[in-house]
Amino acid sequence: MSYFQVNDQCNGCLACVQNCPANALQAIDQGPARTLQHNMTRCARCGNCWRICPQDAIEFQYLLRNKWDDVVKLQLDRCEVCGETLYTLAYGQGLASKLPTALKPLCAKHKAGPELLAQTHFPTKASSAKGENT
Amino acid sequence: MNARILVADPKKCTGCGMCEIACSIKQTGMSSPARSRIRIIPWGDNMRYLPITCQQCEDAPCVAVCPKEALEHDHKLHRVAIDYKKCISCRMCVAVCPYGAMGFEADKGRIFKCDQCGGEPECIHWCAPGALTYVDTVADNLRRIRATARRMIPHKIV
Repeated sequence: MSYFQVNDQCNGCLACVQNCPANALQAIDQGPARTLQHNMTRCARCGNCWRICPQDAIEFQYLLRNKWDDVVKLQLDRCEVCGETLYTLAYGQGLASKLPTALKPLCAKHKAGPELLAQTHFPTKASSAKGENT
Repeated sequence: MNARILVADPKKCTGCGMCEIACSIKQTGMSSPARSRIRIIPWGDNMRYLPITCQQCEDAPCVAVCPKEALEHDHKLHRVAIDYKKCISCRMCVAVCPYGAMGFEADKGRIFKCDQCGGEPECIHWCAPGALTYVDTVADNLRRIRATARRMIPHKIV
């Protein structure tokens, strides 16, 4: 996650903190240590800190990296028949809670509707024989 | 006049796919059966085909799950209609439709379903075997009741 990085040349002069136009840098002196903090939400990536740093300590290239952060990881629900990815478990549970009947995780190819239609229009020999007996 | 509904008879369907092409051209302007609101599913090994489109369910699962009330059953026209101003493309209706009749266009980022072309279905004019018909809902209900009754009664009596 660290986009703003300094190398071991940094001596804690805080010139960057003084010159940041967006107030994205601050330093906290606590006990024996001075901590330099950076706020990515405030940072405008103007490069002023890098330009001003007397020690050439700021590694500005990390602020210009095109990097993706993992936000959340969720379990997937897959089609019971073919294993095609459908939606997340939480999504499926949300759907099921709104429906009066249970929801089976099935992809468009293996849904129950076409099966139902086929049974209605093309009754199998077994079911028609059953109809004769009753 | 009563509302009318698109009825597909799988017994007459030959699987030619003209309805898919006609539908996609009418609805999206391009010949792409993947974007058709009606689908032909080959069924079994006996050259059988299931033409499947939105059943316009009375108690529709898609309407039940929609979080933004973008789907509504229009009882006057007897169809489930999408309000694209409310739709947020969460695809819950796509996931929940038991017939797989709801589709999603990835490039446009929006769902689609059969809207019976607003009362003038294009597909029925292209169905050579006459499997697709646009009929009066009351008349179709009577037909269904008769067909079900025929199935219930032993064949020897009828």
